[in-house]
Amino acid sequence: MSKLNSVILPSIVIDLSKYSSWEEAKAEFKVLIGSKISFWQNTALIIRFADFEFESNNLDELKTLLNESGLTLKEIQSNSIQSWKLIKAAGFQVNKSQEKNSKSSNGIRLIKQFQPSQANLETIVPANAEERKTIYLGLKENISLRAGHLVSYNGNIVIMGDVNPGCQIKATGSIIVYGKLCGSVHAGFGITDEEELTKIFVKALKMGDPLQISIGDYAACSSSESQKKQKMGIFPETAKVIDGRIWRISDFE
Amino acid sequence: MPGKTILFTSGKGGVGKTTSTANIGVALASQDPNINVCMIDMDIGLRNLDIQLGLENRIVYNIVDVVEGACKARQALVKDKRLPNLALLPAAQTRDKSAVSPEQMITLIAELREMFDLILIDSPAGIEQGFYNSVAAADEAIIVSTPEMSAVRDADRVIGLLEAQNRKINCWLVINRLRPAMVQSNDMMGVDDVVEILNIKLLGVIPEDERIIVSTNKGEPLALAKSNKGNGAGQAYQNIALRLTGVEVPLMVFGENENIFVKQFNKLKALIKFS
Repeated sequence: MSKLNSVILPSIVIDLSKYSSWEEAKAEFKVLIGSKISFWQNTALIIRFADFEFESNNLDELKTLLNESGLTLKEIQSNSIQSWKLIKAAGFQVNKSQEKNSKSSNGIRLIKQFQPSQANLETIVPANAEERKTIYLGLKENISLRAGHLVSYNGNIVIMGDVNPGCQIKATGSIIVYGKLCGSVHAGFGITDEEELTKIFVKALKMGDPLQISIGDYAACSSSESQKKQKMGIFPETAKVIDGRIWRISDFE
Repeated sequence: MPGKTILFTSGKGGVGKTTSTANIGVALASQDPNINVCMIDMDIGLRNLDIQLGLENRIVYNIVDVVEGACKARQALVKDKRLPNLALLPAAQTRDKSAVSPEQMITLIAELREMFDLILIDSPAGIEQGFYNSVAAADEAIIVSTPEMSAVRDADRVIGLLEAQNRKINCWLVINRLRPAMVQSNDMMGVDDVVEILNIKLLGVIPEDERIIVSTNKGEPLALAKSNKGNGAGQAYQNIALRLTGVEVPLMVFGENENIFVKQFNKLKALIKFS
């Protein structure tokens, strides 16, 4: 796991196993990564390929792509044992494709555990950056946080899935959503130090509408203009406090 | 064979829960004369299911009489006038939703499971006592929603409440009152938009159809009408009933555009997992 401003990011598996040729897999990977990559930085990436046999120029192309984007690959997963020698020779770690058992709805039970009432966050002292912990929702199976859900945690929150309008998320640290983010999110709850606040962020693969983002004591909401300009695919953005305002920085080109 | 219990719920009122329960109930019973279907109206105090089935005049006892012990379940059940394998357990008109508790529902459904293969529960709107009474003994849930922001928001809330129950309740989505022309001119949410937000399996789509209004007033569910001719709401309800029994039926084509933005986002999002 790697760190980004005290948020311990989980390793992310990019599952390209339904693309049966290198060309198809490469095309999808390129779209996912985009040319401006800050969303994926500091994330340990694992790419899972289908069982096709690799050729050495495929791996060279992969290396170029990764270098251009400044990404590091933790591991390649492929069940084509014949390719393993080639992959290792190119300098990558390789492993068999491990499909996680996605039958449990662990994400939902986790929400029920971490549903302290609003009063809790307002009375506790937020942990400082070094001691801040992170919880992960949707680890085993993507979840949809629905209208009426309230998630609050003294630390960072990482969500694998969508956050629907009407949902409330409160964290004393940062919030990362690998999915569409709507609703009302409050990062840096209870933190008043400006210096600390610059390190707190809200990231999402797509910032939807309606969305209210608060970081510390600053608040902002999405404009309904953005709904008319629907963007293709994913459009990762980060929200941070800069000079007393919340800015949305696009991590995608 | 223990009866499977399916709950029709929505959160928002007026989206078509009662209409869907009536039509899917008659469709199921007419497609297979060997299965016994029971429909329960849980909207105590504001009963409507009996009107839509045309059985208003045949009600003697109701669900509150049964849970209070004034009569047996068999006495309260009203046999449908067209189909011998279909019955209705009506709601009370003079009481309200506090007259029944979730525990009483569990006992009642257990008794009905002995008599019927399929039990359809028409839940009232809202998320209060009436909703929790209906959820108490349900195995699966059909969420009915129209393609409108308010309905989708309420459906999302209800799905969240169902997911938070102690047992796993399979949720299916039925999108009601779709107007393909409005979807095409971007004035109405499309099927993709609703499914993307609610993130549950789609069971069927019912187009807006004037004949529904006529059928609900007459008490003759549209799914039974001979004039369906392969299109319209009646046919859509028939298709949903077939899918519930395991037959694969393709969705009716309404000539609407697919939402490519939503499809692209979902496709890319599906590639990313935690390790």
